[in-house]
Amino acid sequence: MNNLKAVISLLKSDKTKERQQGITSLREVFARPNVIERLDENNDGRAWLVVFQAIFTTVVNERAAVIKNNASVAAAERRLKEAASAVRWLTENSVKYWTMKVGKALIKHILQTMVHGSQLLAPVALDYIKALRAVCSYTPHLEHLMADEQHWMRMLSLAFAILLDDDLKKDLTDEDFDMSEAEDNMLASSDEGSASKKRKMRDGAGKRFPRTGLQKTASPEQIEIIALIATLLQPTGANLVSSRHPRLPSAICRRLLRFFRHYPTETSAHLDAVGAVQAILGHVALNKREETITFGSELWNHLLQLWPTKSRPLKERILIVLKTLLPFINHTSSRLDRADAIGKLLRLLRMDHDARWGFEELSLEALRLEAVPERLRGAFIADTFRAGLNFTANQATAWVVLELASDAIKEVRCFSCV
Amino acid sequence: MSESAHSSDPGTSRPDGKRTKLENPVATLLQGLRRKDDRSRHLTLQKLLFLIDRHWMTIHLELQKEVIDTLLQLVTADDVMIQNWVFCCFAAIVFVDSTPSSDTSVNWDGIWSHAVRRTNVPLISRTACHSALMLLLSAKVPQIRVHAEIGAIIQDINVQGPPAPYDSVCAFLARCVEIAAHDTRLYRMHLDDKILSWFIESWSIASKVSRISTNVKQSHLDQYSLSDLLLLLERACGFDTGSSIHCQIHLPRHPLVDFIQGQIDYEVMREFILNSCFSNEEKKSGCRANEPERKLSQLSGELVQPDLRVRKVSAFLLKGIEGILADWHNNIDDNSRPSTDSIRHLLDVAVLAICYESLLLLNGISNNRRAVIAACKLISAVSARLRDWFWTPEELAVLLSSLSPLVLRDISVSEPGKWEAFVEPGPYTGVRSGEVKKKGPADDNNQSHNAITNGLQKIIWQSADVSGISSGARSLSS
Amino acid sequence: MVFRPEHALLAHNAKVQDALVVVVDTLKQILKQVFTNYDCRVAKRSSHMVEDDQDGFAPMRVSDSPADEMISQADNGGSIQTIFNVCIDFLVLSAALPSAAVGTNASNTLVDMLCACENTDLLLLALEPFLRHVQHRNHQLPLSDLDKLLVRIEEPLMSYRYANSDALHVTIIHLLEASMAGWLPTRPTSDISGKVYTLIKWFIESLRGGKLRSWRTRDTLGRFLEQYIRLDPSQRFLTDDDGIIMDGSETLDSLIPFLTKDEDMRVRFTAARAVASLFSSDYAHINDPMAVYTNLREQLCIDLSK
Repeated sequence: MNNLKAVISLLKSDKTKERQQGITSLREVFARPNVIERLDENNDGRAWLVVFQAIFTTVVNERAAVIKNNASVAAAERRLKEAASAVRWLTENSVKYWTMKVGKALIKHILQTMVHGSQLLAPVALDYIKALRAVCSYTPHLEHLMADEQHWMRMLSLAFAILLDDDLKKDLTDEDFDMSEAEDNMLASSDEGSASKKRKMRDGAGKRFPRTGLQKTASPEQIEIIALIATLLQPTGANLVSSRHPRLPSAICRRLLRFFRHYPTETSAHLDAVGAVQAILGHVALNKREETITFGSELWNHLLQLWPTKSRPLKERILIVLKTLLPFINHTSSRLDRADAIGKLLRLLRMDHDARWGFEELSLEALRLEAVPERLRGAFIADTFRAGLNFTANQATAWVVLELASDAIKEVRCFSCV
Repeated sequence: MSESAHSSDPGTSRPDGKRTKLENPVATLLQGLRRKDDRSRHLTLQKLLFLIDRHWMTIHLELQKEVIDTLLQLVTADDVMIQNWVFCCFAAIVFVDSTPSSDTSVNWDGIWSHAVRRTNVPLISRTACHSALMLLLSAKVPQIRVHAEIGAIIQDINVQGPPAPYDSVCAFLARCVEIAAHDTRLYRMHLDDKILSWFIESWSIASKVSRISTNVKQSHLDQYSLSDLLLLLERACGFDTGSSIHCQIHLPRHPLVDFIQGQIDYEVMREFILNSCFSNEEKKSGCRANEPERKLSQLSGELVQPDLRVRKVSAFLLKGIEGILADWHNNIDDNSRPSTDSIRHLLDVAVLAICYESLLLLNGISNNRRAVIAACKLISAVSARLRDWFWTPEELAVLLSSLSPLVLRDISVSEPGKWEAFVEPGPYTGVRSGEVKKKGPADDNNQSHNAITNGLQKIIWQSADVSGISSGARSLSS
Repeated sequence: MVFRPEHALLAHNAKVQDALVVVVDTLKQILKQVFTNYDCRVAKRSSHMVEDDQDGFAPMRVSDSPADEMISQADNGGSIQTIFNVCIDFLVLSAALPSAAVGTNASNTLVDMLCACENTDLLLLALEPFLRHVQHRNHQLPLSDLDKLLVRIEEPLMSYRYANSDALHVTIIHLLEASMAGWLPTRPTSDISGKVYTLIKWFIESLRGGKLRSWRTRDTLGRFLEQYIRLDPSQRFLTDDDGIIMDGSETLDSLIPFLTKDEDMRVRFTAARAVASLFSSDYAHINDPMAVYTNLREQLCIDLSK
């Protein structure tokens, strides 16, 4: 414990040398799992708060040095980065040993520190986003976080702003969100244009997301942040259809759509982006019909464009989203050219026949052939065949593709009959 | 309107550069079947199969006939898998088709003769039997033809029978026995006897025992479950009371599986939201109505002596299990770990024997005590090893689920968490009681199934005298 | 049930007895093994993953639900559930079909085993098939066993880790629902009904206070309420000897209309059904049907699909 006290006073020191030493010894002390396990013997989180507060002090001091913009800014940035990485490291290793009392202090610190002016503070951004993910990926924390709507909402707002390079101060439910819709429409019609001009004004020296039509790779921060978004939208307790925030679902859907417009071709961020779509649909599909129809109609072609991906997990998620959306985009109030949209899907599925990286085909060995009694109806059970003893996850995928194809064929036939 | 919506969509791949004309996707499927590429044809046939299963009734009659004609041309294709998928399609069509059997515009006879001819072709037997069975259940083929050809197939079954007792093969043969029982000419041919001999020949109990000590990594289970074999045995032995045991099939754990489960759960609500209706669709099918009724025979009176057929099966099981036991003791030591599927096979054999012998009691027939003892010995020997060897959870799940017919009752009907649109009429609903009763035939059916399975399991467990188990449990806990 | 004398032939047979004893014994061992060892394996694997990520530049890609911290659940969860299903089916049946000679002590050991499982996640998985048997009356759950289960399952409810867990909430409601026939006739003064009552009250207050965030929990609660009103239409369980609602808290029937105004469609749907079923149960006939109707109509949700 003495050792730990020394570390803490080092971290809080106003001398850069000592603070750096503090970080090194912090990593040494907490490298031993039993230290992490036994730190908080009273189980009230206080011990953890002390440690975290100490390292937050270090970060705040280094951050001040960076922002002052002195001659040695490069060295200061490096020190800040080290401190932030230590925060993340400690968070990831200790996440199960403290409660949200500590978690909230951590989140508050991260949200405050990560933003400078109206932009991300580059040296800490990636580590801090990862630290947030570590907190939210532990289910109990996430469950407690959702009970406190304010933090959840702030994180989600910031995450979307980072993802889309929007004003970091704005909340998802802010009134003037119609702005971004107008922007969307401009983007959609004339790709970039005036929107990029506006961004240039906002982007400072440390601009990390070049926004030209050609640049279509996602930054590491964006890849992490979209994963965080998916995590935040996932739980059944996420309050996405609350009457207190009637605009929240469409605000989220619009932002996800903007992501797909900015990045029409596959990037490393797309797996979680489609995961986030899947998560939001889990909340809105049954609750917000009109929003789902609009969202689905606009998203449909983007998804189809991603379909030929070679990433199997991505393709499976797209499959889930397409299957969810098909009845919605096919609704009479959908603005989509339905026959064309579904026709395209069918052509893509047909092209999969020749693709080497298409899904596995359904195997007779994985099926049971029998006339299935009505009362046994359920998942992967048809009238005259059903999943059998050798039915694997790959076979399940093949099955769902065939369901999607046959439903699509039926819908196209309905149009051509009219 | 649609055009403007379309133009705002950025760069979706359009291989042909412009908007293609509306095409008839079913016609496109049928064209795809004329391609030379076999893999592509398999996939197209699979799509067709799902289309038939899910939406056959939305296809108009002319096109339905075109589909059937195209399939009839393909049924003689060289590629075995094409034939297999074609037969699956036929089975699905027969199942959903509701045209009366008097309507001769569809060539059901043609399908029947193709199917029947291939019931014994090694790689096609399964699907051929499947479509033949569907035709039998739907009564679309004239009885005279059916009787003649059933007689012919089974006459030769020992010379040229199906390669193995697959799921659909068992169901088909079981149905044949049932039909034969109602026709004097067929009855006199002793088809049941021939089928039992075939079963004993083709189901090689010991085939896998030699592989006991080989470690096959990929677990691959057979194309039948215990309930299939038991169904065949009980029909061929002419039991009044069937077992209806349930061999549960566990779906893999995967996000897609959860997703599809959710889609089914939410379907009622989705329909309501999108189409403002509660679809209470009940698929009509000629096949289900013909499912034979089974009576729970009276559990009273003396046990009768088993007849020749029954004794033959008991002896077969006994001999097989004794062979396995000898092999087991010679080959198994603490160091060798047999493959999952060979162990699974052993458990299946033992469980089958116990179920079969208990089924005899349920039908008032005295059973073969030695077979029961041997099966129990095997189960004890194997299950003692289940905890010694280190199995992964996946392997253990495969192994343990083979024991489940000993206890499993079908409780899948009332899984919690389903959303239903209608409340069942009750005493205060104001619906006449006769109507109320008509409303829930499915439930009644299910109850009787439950009762029978229950009876079988009671016998299994009573025969073991639970006092032994309980005292075992007590000694374990103390 | 008395079986025919012929069974004596088999009952005598020590070998048959032994076989099933061995099977049941094995399954118990397996159940215990999974309860104790499985957790370690999971823990080992996930700490391993954190180490991998230390270099910081290879983002850990979790292809399945990112919120699921028991990562290996994704590949093993299904198998573990199957193992539990078979084990519990066997143990329940071995207790449910006793011969005349023995009592039903075996069931106690099953509940004891469940309560001894320290890993709450696994306990919830194992309770699922068990509670299904209780619900279907395949298994008689004596009040003493219910008491043990309630004590065991209340404990994580107090902990940080599970306090807001919808999986735990859902299982507790299932437990209350499955065991309803057992606790309904008890008097409010008894220890067991005190426990049940406290839990129900906790759920009511959480629901009213908007603390049941997950629609799944609220949906399960809606199903519970429907079942409760069906079995106890006059809500006698909640009243003291003088017929007055205890603690001045509200009756459960008032929660059904409350749920018809829920924010999630799935809960509204369940609640709408529960409203309909009020009229086919004794509830509408113990109370004045017209009064019930008027009361419900005033609170009914106007648009089911919003």
